[in-house]
Amino acid sequence: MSSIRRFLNNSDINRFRFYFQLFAFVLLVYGGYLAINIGEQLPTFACVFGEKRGGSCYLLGFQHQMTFPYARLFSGPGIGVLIGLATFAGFFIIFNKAWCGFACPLGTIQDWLTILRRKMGIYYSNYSEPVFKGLSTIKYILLALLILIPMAIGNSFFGLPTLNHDFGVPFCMICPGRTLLPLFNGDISQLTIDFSSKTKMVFSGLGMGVTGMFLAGAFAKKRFFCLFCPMSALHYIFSRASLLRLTKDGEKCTRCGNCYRVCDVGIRAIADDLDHKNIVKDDCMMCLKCVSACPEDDCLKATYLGIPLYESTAEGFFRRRLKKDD
Amino acid sequence: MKGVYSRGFFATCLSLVLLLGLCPDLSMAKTDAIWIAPAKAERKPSGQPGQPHHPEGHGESSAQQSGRPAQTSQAGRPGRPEQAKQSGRPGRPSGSGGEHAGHGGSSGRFESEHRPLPVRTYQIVPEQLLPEARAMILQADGTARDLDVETCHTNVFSVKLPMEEGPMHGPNNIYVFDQQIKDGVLEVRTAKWLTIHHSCGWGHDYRNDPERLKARSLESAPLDIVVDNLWDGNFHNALHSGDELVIRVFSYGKPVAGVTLTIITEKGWTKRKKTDADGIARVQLIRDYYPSTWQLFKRTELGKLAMTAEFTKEGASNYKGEVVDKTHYISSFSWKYVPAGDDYNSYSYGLLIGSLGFLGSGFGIFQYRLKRRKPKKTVVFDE
Amino acid sequence: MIESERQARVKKSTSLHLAMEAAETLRQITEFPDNPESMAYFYDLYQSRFKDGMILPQNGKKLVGTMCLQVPDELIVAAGAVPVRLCSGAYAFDQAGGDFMPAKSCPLVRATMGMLQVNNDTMKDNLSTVVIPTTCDQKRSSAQMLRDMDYPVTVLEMPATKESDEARTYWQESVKQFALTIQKICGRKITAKSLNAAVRSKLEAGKLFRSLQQLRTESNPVILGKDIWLVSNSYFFDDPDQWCQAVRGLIAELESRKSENFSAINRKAPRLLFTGSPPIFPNLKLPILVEQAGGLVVADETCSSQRLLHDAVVFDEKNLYDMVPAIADRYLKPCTCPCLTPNTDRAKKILDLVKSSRVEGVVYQAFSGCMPYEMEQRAIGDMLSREGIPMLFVETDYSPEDQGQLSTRVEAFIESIKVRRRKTQ
Ligand code: SF4
Ligand code: SF4
Ligand code: SF4
Ligand code: SF4
Ligand code: SF4
Repeated sequence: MSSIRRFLNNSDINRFRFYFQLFAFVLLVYGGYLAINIGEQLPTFACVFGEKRGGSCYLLGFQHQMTFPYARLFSGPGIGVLIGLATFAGFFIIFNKAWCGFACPLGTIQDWLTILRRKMGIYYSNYSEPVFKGLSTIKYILLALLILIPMAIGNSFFGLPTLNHDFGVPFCMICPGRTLLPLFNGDISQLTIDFSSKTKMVFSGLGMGVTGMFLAGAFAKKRFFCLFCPMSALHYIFSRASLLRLTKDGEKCTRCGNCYRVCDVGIRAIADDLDHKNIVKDDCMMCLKCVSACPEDDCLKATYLGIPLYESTAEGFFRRRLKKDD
Repeated sequence: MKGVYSRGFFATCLSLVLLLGLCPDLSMAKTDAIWIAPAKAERKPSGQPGQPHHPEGHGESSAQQSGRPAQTSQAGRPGRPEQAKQSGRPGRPSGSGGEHAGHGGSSGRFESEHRPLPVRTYQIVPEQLLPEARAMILQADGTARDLDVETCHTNVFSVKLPMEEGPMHGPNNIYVFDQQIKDGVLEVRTAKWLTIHHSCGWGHDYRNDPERLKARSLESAPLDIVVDNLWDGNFHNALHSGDELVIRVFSYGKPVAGVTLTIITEKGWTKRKKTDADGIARVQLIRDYYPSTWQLFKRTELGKLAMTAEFTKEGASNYKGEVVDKTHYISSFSWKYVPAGDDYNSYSYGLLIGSLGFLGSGFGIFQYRLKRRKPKKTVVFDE
Repeated sequence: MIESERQARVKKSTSLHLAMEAAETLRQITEFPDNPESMAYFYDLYQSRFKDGMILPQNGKKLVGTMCLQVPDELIVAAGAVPVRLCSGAYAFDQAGGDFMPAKSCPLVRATMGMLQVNNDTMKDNLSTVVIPTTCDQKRSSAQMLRDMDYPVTVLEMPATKESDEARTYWQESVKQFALTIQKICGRKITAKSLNAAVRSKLEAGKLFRSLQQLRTESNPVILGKDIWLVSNSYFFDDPDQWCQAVRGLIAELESRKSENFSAINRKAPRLLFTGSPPIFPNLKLPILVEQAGGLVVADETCSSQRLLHDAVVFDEKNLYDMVPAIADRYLKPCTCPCLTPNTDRAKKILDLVKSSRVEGVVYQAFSGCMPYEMEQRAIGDMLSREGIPMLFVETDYSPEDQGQLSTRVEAFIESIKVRRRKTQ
């Protein structure tokens, strides 16, 4: 047992993650070719617009369900909505935010852009603390909008006229997943502006604009999009209940900042928060890079059902840092 | 909502119907084909019960639509991802087609596979069937069976469709045959209708299953029109204006050459073609939807399409003891199409806005970084 | 003429005193029974360097003197030079510094300045520059004095706090600027490759030091604290590769001691933690006294030993834009030097060491004149008494005069720990 643990702690999670992401990308984007279907309510951007996907992003269905009129939402079909949400939560609780760090195809694309930038020797951008805090609230606003806008289709708010159905899946319309992921199935049809109605035109225009910004942003800033991702906001509601955890022992921490330095999202608390044991912040993607960069024994830990999976150890740290350079 | 164009068109159709008291399409009227159309009984309760019933089926439905907002109900539905998502897993959500739209019918509601019904009722137009008429169904799994002939005599017949996954889950072909001697010629008539019976709740085992999804021909049909690629791997209509139709014609299960195919759209475009040696004819569908401005454009604008196949076979045959020396086969089939994605989707604008977004933010980042160098805020290594 | 003659005389006598002092400290150190054989490398090293007025490394490369462990020596190595930490523990130099430094200044700064003054003729030419971070007041002020002595001085601007984003960015920019400065001075461009090699070399040293630290805290004592200081102090000036080689040998020997269950000292010796102003050879007076009195220093929190090599550089991308700030972070963020405010991390670190090394008492040394450590003594003492750990606060300097009085206090402290232990058992 202890030798297995030692092996795990000495391992290089980044390398594993790179290959796992590749695997998950293929599975989620091309799984359809092998008739693989992991689930319909995945807590990750396995975009429904990709025809050959191996599972489906929950947000599209969720937004659609929000278009139900109250009468439907709070009767029979409402149970379907709850079941959907419960399935989503179920998927999420198994892996917590590791869905983001290990599975999300859009996250993976961002990581690939990062590799490209690194290879080109162009430096990355960082947000100062206040900017980071400000930007990080945007995802909650987006989450609220993606619930409220569809709701305004099925119901009238304050006596206002209801919205037309072209507002049905507002977030999907501006989601870079919609435009980019089908490309990997050879489907370029999402790169168009839809002139069939004004709403569609505006939304598809926004979608393409966001796509452009996504590509430029993710190139300059690691995990640029994740800070705004409403999926991540929805995750955070369930994060505490998850079986997979990232914990920190503040007493062992020297505040050396190594963990923050390698954190692609740029979470300061991972180094500076000494009080909380559960250290999964809303923007965290559980990539566990921080664990691998922490040189203190038992300081950071990923645990599953309380069983440590990956712990920071001095031995593992030096082994990773001093291994032959590639 | 309603485009100027469609209003004008339907008005014309209506007047034509009134004028001729028959069907709006003269060429169709000339042929003696019989048609299957969803019957009045299928109309939703909310439909106008008082609406006069025109037995014309497809050709006629337009007149009805001008009278009631059938289009409104369609406009809200197909072609949008959330629609598809509705009861489970969607197919290609914004695949720019009239997904699951079903056939147009006099009911004013489309016969949609995503709103499966336990019973579908059809009527024969334009006339009462002959006493010997029979009806058959070629089910989605390829098995055929007779439909209750008795009901045929009333001009209306019903098909029961089990609301579950089973042999009828998928595209089902409904046939009606009859024959008679007319002016010394044996007239053998076939009408074909296709209903896709599907609910996402039954699962998607047949998604992209070529066996379940293929267009079938009934062995015992005297003359059968089979059109490929009318629907996609997930039971959505896949026909867009401008597409090429690949039409295969069979007689008793064998391809026949030299059959005259007449394709006619609701808007009056007609095309005649003869099948080649393999019994195949290829026809490119016209693009016939030109709203005056893009604001009037509806990607779900449904065009209807009717086709007949006919040929005359020389040679003596015996019907009810009467011998004739010619047999005339005639067969009908109808479907629908929506505007092609290219009509309202613009790649150039999409890529333009995308590149603007990319270059704009890229330039912004670059400027910001330059600004930070002078007056010195950050040291940048040139490496 | 007269002046230079006097200078030569001072240099000669200081050099003599230095050698004697070093020999005396080494004698005390080697007098302990059961010294590890591998320590011989270090004993010889000190013997050979602490003569002729201090011998600086000579291997044909440029030398860059540093006056604090806050100087990122990876950058110096990457620029092709050899860093040497000038902080001195020699009483002989302290006395020389007394000629021109205030009587109440910190003996560490005074000795360092004294060394540079006495060796003015040679060191000025040997050192390409002396890097002084703006840490405590005395180091800051000595920068100007050194300039007046015609030394080439590079000031490394360091913030007085590490909490805010701004302070951290300021320090990163300051270190980035330092990278440019040092590569200009050394005439060699720092590249990602050379920097990576330098980082790895220091990481290797850090890794070895951590193993040594681990062995030191074994419940069966295999090595004494005084030897640890010798090992870590020598990293100031030794060639890193040779140093690593020697430490590896030492670790191997200690490992075998461990497996043979061999103790270097009475297993019941009270386990102590040493913190405060840094003991630097030859001024290992207090640690030696403690261990002579029967204590065992199992851990320390001093910038001449544990803090020197414990922390590790981590960068995410092997490009200078990430590596240099990563190096900057390593020198600021985990820093527990009392010249920073707030400095809660030091108390936390001590507490962690106390717990993880099962420490029974803390010896706190403050050099008279070293304000930051003197002032922080209270807070640390209070924190420890809350935890029920006794602390001995000692204010001292480099002179051997107070040895007798100190040893009485130290013995009493150790005795009291033994008494406590008996009571609790
Ligand atoms: S567009 Fe985005 S939110 Fe919508 S289904 Fe695709 S990935 Fe999910
Ligand atoms: S936060 Fe990032 S990784 Fe997570 S779902 Fe959103 S885009 Fe994907
Ligand atoms: S890397 Fe570990 S020790 Fe350093 S700040 Fe992070 S958690 Fe603390
Ligand atoms: S805090 Fe750690 S696990 Fe979370 S995103 Fe940052 S590096 Fe990854
Ligand atoms: S006490 Fe602080 S300023 Fe002085 S040498 Fe140590 S780290 Fe540097």
